[in-house]
Amino acid sequence: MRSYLVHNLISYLGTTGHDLILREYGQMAFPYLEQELVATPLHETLVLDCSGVRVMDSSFVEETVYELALRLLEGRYGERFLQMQEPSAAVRVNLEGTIARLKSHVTIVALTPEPALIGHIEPNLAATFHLVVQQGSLTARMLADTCGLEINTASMRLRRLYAARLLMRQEEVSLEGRLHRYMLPA
Amino acid sequence: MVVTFSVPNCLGGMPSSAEPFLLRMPYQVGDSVEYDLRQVTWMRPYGVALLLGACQRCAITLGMPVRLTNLSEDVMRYLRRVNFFRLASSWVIAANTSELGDDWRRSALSDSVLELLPITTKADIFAIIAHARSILQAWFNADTDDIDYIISLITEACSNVIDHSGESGFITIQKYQKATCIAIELVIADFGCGVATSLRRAHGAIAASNVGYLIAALQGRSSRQGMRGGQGLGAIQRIAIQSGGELYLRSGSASVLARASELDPRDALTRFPGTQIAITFISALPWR
Repeated sequence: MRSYLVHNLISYLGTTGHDLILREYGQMAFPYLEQELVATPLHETLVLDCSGVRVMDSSFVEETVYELALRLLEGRYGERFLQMQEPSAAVRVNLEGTIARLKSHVTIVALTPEPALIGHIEPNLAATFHLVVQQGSLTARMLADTCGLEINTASMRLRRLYAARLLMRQEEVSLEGRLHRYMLPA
Repeated sequence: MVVTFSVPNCLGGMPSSAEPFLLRMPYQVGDSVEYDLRQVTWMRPYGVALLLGACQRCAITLGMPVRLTNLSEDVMRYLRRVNFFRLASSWVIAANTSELGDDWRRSALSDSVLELLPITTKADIFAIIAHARSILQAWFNADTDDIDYIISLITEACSNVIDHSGESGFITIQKYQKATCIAIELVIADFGCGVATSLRRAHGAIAASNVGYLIAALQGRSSRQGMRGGQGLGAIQRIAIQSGGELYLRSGSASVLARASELDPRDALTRFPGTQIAITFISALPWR
């Protein structure tokens, strides 16, 4: 896991206070964040530590966190993951609002205080995500057995969460053959 | 010729109730204009914004300042308190500004008002939010998420002035103590090109009416080229309404009042330049 203190952007951008605002500053900040993500080893997670940041307004967040998550989802950065830590209530509201207004499928994990999802996601996927978090890790068989699902349905839900960069997976070889175990990216 | 307008007592209520003030506008080059405020007993930030805009437009058209007369002591105090005369110094002469006693002082941490502040550059926005934070922390006597929500409202609205109006603008904020909550009223105004013109320039005719352009802007349509932009008004609407408050947007000859339960669009209003936004944010914290 690689952690980046988002508050550092304030000094990089030459602003003051504890707020990251305005679209132009977001565009200036994006390369810093992208650089951090690219520097994160494959299969690992960049955690944007937002402690100390009071506000990221919608325009700033659209040009930074949202754009980064969108490009990650599009596969531009390989198998890496992105999470947020300690987003303030205003940061969460502005990010959620941005995702909603763009009618986007981007969803981001926020690690405060329990893992939660920012963005829109189907209820069955959200429930699956929280079950994985609760259990630590799940295979499709375990999910199917726990929730009374067909194995294909369980497998599809976990794959979709993986494709959305919300879960990571590790391949295991068992007596049943090869299977994937899904877990929250570290 | 001196043209005197008797300003009705409509600048202290809900934004939509201020429309009668805008009806009384006819003058022509060569006139000098007076606004007689003897009927005005109370003002709120939105009324101040309209008065400021009307004086500015009049003064620019006529090439001379507008004279304000018969201000009551309360109205005079309020206008001085919000820094009206300093901001409007190029456009306004008040008949009795020197008559207030020397014992009146306007505190930088005024107990209910953040005075009119200009929005001219992006640097102004950082100064405004720094000033607003200190005022809000004093008002709430606590460090609360609501302060951050209000700061979000400020940045979104102020950046719209700079990005889209083509002119400068200003902001003022007032606190109202209610029985069980604090209501924060923010007014951000500019007298630039207005929403409809801004969108038409970028996209052509995308709405059948002026109010249609306001609704398009609320729904995320931006004059910014490309796929980005359009976040500001939607963010303002969402934050204000989620708090239990509302957003009033007036631009050109149209207005929209957005509340949780309704969207009240109005068209064919008196044309007035620029865009004026009145936001009410409700904080559940009791005033301490």
